[in-house]
Amino acid sequence: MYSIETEQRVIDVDDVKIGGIPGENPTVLIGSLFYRKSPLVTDEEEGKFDRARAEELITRQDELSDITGNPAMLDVEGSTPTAVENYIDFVAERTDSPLLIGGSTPDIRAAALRMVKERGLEDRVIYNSLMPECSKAEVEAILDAGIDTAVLLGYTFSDLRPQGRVEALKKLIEETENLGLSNPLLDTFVMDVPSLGIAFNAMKEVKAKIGLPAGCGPHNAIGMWRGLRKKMKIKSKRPVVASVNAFATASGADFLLYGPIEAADDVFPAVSMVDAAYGFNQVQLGKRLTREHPLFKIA
Amino acid sequence: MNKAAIFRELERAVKNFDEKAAEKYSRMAIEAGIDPVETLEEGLAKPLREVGERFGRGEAFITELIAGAQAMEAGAEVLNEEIKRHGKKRKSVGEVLIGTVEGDIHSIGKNIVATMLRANGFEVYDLGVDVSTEDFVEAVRRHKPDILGLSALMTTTMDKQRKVIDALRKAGLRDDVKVILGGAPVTREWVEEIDADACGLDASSAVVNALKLIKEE
Repeated sequence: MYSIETEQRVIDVDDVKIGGIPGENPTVLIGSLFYRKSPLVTDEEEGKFDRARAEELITRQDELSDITGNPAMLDVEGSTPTAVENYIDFVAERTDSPLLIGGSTPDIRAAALRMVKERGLEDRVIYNSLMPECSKAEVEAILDAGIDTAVLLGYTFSDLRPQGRVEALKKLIEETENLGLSNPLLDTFVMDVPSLGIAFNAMKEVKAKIGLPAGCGPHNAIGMWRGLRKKMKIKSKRPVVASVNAFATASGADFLLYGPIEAADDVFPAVSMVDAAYGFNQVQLGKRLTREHPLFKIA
Repeated sequence: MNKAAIFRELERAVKNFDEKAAEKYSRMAIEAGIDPVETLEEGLAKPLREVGERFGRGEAFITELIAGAQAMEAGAEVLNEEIKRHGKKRKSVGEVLIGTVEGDIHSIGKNIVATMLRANGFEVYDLGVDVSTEDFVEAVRRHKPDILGLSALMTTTMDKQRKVIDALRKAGLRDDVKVILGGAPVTREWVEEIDADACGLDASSAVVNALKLIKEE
């Protein structure tokens, strides 16, 4: 069982605790709602979508969070400023969970941050994400919007070892800290199946060397895995999505961008199981866990 | 060790992502007096092309391709010094300038295409991501590449590909360079609509079309 001795910093976002020794705080599970090619979205440019189905999915994720004790968050993406505004407007009303927002172009990011400010969502928003070589203006815009927590992405191709990810993150932490960002969450960057090994080992190294909350988006590996369908003739990705998230949890993830929110029914049980197992280990070592821990909720 | 055995070891190094072995056997090839240009082409680039072709057929992961390319680069660094020392040059198929358009920070697809172009003998200048239209035009003016590769991963940024082509025309440079488009939303219809020359719907077709464009020149 994976354990760690380095002192860990726990980051609190709107009463959700992210980080700690594996097994101490339940893994935070982040579902993506309006991702590219989501069946919910009927017009990507205008941000039109099936509102009833979206509400159903958000409610189900919140229910699973209550049942398992794994805190839930929503990752809200949009491909235009109008779309991202519509999405944020909708989700802010439907759930109290923290939201991850961002955007792939400056105008989308600006629209998202403007919504955060207008709706007073600062305290429950995490910026997703800052990448190496991000601009000073991007960091300043986040801080101006009143957001102090951001996912930093250890995106690098020059060194494919876990140390490469750790070094990229260290540099990014230093740069963003100098600009005033106080709460970094470290994403060790999953791209495909082989990169899972790099990212999971990098999470362990990040926690051992830096002591900040670490996580990743393990679902990326499944999305990119063509052989699953082509060679194994497996139509359903569900078992592998559940297991890759459980594998990430067993490697010490504090937060997981677990994939499309439609997978919540598969992911929450798998991850809560690992958290309960690690939680019991912590209890045996003398740690007192909250009664909201999966260990005390999923039996 | 004879030439065939050294080339076999280099192939193994690239396919097993072993940078140290690629360096070691590249040195050994130099010591054995084997032409460094031939070593680079037959020992390193050829196996990487095979990894690239497997990737193109959906039989290899991106990480394998990148790790293979890094092993090739490690060996190539040793060989390039020797090539330079002898005043030789690897025969370049053509020069490609590549970058992701303004407002778009996606680099994975562009990097894969750049890697595969290099493995196929192109000289590639990579301008990076979020490259402004002005910078593309300036780089074309400066480098005079045979081909300009414009990557855009989003429907919202692909219009920048049109802007670059328009700007090249205004600068009087459009007839000097072939333009190839890449990225998830790009289609053949889009190529025609904005008056580009070709597109790469995946890394393999990008290379095939780049080679075709060079032959047409």
